[in-house]
Amino acid sequence: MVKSYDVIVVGSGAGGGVAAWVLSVEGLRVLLIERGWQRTYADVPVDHLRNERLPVYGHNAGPDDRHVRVIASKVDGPGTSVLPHQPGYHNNAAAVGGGTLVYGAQAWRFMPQDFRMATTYGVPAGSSLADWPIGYDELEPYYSSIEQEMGVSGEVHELHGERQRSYPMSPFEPNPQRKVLEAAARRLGWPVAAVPLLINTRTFNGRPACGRCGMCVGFACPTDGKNGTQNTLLPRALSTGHCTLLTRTVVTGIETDARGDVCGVSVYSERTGSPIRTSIKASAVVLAGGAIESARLLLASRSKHHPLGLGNRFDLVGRNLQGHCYSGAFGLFSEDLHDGLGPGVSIATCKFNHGNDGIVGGGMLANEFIPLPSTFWHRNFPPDVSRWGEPAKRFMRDNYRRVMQVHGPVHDIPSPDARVTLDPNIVDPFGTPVARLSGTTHPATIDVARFMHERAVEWLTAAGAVKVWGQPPGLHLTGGQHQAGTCRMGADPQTSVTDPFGRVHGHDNLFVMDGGVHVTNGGFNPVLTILATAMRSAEHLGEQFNARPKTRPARAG
Amino acid sequence: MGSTMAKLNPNPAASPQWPTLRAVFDRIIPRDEHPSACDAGADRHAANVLSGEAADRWPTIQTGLALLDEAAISLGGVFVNLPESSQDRLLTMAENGNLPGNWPIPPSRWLRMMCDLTAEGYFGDPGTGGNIDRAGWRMIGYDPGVGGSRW
Repeated sequence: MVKSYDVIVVGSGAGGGVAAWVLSVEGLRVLLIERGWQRTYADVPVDHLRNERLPVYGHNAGPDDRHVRVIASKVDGPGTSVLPHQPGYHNNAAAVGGGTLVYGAQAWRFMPQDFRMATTYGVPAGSSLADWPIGYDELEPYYSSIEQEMGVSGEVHELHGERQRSYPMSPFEPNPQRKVLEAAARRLGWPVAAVPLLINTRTFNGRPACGRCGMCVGFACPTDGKNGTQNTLLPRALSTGHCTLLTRTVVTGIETDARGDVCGVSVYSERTGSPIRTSIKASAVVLAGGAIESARLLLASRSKHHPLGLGNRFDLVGRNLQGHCYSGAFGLFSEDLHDGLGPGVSIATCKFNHGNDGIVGGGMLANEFIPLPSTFWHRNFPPDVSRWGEPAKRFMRDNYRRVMQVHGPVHDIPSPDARVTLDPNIVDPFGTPVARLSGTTHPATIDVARFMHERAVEWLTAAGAVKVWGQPPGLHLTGGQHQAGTCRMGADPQTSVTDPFGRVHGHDNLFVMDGGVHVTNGGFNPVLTILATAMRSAEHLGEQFNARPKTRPARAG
Repeated sequence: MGSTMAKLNPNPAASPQWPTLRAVFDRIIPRDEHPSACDAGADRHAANVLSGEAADRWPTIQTGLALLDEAAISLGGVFVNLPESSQDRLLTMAENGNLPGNWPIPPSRWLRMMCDLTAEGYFGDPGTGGNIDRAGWRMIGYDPGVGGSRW
């Protein structure tokens, strides 16, 4: 590890992995810093009660329990300290690859209207709904590049924006759930298609197709057929010779010089076993620790020139925290719909993402990944079935393979009061004030969630369910594994944290390249948009350095 | 909370209430043509977490078990000695909130906690100590395929 780099990238997940790859290929000297571990499949426990999706007693891909947060209903009210696996923490995995190591890997593009929510719907009172400063057309080439470079299997949805290229891999063969839901959708007149996945359906990039184990969500992949940054872009970054990966190292602050310009980071590193505190210099710093940690780091990097933290002159850093409420329903069928082959999630409709009378936005609806039996027990039971005795046992035995769930991410209507701030009382063991999470999504989101629940009921009923149940979600703070919004991009420094290329306003050399820059978060899993946006931003940063030819691929045709 | 049950017990499986817990588990998931909860080792999972990550729950569970036993006397004996139909009657009373005593949480919530603990030990992965021989998974037709090679 040398003491000075062209670019330091903080966080090796979706955005950080892309940034490190783009910049290394451009020839810049990149230091990629990750607080978690580099984990192979064998290093990610397969415990059904301790994983990133069902963390009943713990989890399996970081961070460790030194990384507490505080949750509070009011920003300046009493708070409760929580551990990473506990409810309300809003965790995303901390490991090389970040969330992309253990995600379910749904690979959705946003739709064109997702980038102009305010123009399309108006702004609900009290919300911070706003348009992005860029649109689908600007991002399309990058969506396409990521799909080709990382590997996405899917088929085109007729309501989505135009695309240059088809998916590099076709979807899995239709499973029983898809067949039943597709027939129902045809009767209802709803357009449907496969769920796009960052999962191989054939050998791709030298790695095998998915092994169909059905443990995608919350676990690493046993056959390495699931595509994350850790097994696609990061190895390429490292093979350029320009990228150094530094794991088990926490960035404790962004450092500025006597003029207030960003000049590097301070770290606490356990990479070699014994802890080391040091400063590392760089010409530019890219934050990609996820919406919550990137905002926290900006806020915590206070100095005489930046008393409110970096990029925070207008008290915007940390606000508009978003993720997704999930809304849907369950249906019991009179035949087995479970063929035991993962991922299980196989069909979706985007009919209700937009154009719903009297509703702001909407969301995607899809069937679900194969549930772990423990997940099924905790979440999939009808409310009127006993949880003990022969009736409960018989329900599991007879119906584990006969219950289908249809649900999806509801497009958050953001609130400026859903926010990340610094806790005034608690400092982590590395010396940085911990993140405090407070507020909720805007109440209008719950109206949308109720609408989506009703559509799920409609779909399952049309599919022939003998019994349908489920409740729409109540008002709560969103974030979690879809966290976004805390450093929103925009042209106007008074109403945004970064410019349209992720550059923090007021700085030449400080960037955010994770979900924090999302103005709104779509009615879809956000990772493909995080990847595409980061690629576009990193390419722009690379151009700033006047390095070698661009990484943008030639247009197809 | 009950005065005699206040201390955290680092070894719940050695407590006088443990046989009662096992008997309750075996009514929550009874033996039929498939194993019962304890046949499948769900009590081993419970012993693990109640002496570790969920040790803070043991006093509540232990108090409830003791109160269950007190109520059982009126039906003819301690819980473990009653016929299954009487045991089920007591659990139904718990479900309906009709068990006497100074319950630290409502009896229905206590019962639900016991149900979740039992089910976790029956349907969780074998690494948790329960689901011996994947009995729970075979019953419901779940097979993780290549994802199951580490158990």
